[in-house]
Amino acid sequence: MKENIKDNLMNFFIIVTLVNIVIFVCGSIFAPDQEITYSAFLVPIIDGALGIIPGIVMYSKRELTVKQMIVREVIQLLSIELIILIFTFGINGLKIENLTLIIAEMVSIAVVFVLVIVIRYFFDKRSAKIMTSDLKEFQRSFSAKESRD
Amino acid sequence: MDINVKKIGETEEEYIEIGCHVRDGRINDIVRFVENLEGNISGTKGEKKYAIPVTEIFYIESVDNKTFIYSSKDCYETTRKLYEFEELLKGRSFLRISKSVVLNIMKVDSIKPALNGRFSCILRNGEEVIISRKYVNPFKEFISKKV
Repeated sequence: MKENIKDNLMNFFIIVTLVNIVIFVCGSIFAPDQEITYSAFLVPIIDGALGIIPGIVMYSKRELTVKQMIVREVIQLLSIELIILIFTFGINGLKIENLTLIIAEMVSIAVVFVLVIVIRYFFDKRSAKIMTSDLKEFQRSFSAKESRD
Repeated sequence: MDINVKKIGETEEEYIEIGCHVRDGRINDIVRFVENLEGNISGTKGEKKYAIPVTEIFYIESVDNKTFIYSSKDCYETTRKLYEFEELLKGRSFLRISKSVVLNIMKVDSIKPALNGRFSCILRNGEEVIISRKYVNPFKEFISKKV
């Protein structure tokens, strides 16, 4: 449970940062003259909070296989897409007229989702490197102790 | 049960002899205990029983209520439970890395990230075993402590 809370908190902050970047990039390209209000600063935070809900709800103590984990990730992505689309457009706003905007939002969500996984992978890769180096040191000192005994 | 300890000459080889009416579970426990002190763990492969040196064990895994001991190339079955091995091998280079695996840290070649905050240990024989998220921090603490 502790690991899950830590994971979701980390995901939250990564999502907030990435949504800020997405707003900046998309805003600069598609609506460079658009003026935004202070409330716009809340969007990344709300998106971050909504984005971690499926992860919290679908938490399982069971050890999942790689296949089960991939299925879970896909279900999580679809849930996040649905939650954020409803938050952005409302249920009544999900119409054909808004299709371009809906698709753009869905693509942005998918990009952020994948980037979160990639960023987490690079964090883990760095941890693995430190762990391997600690491991080698442990093995050296353990072997030395064994031969002393 | 009487216990006799006899001092023998320096040139003689040390031995333990058990006198019993029947070789039952109690006697087997004593034999296993002595084997463990000697650094061996008993396991079976096919019909044959083997004494596996602890230093040759790569990992011990529990699958469907059965426990298996893995060495570089061989796999042995044992009647003991995983938690017993965890307790027995405490203080050596063994550590629980998931619900079903106790790993000999000395047989790990490198560590790489796996999916979802888990890590994968590449063993010296090329096999991979997963450190589950719950056990990542104890693993880090174990390998970073001074021996």
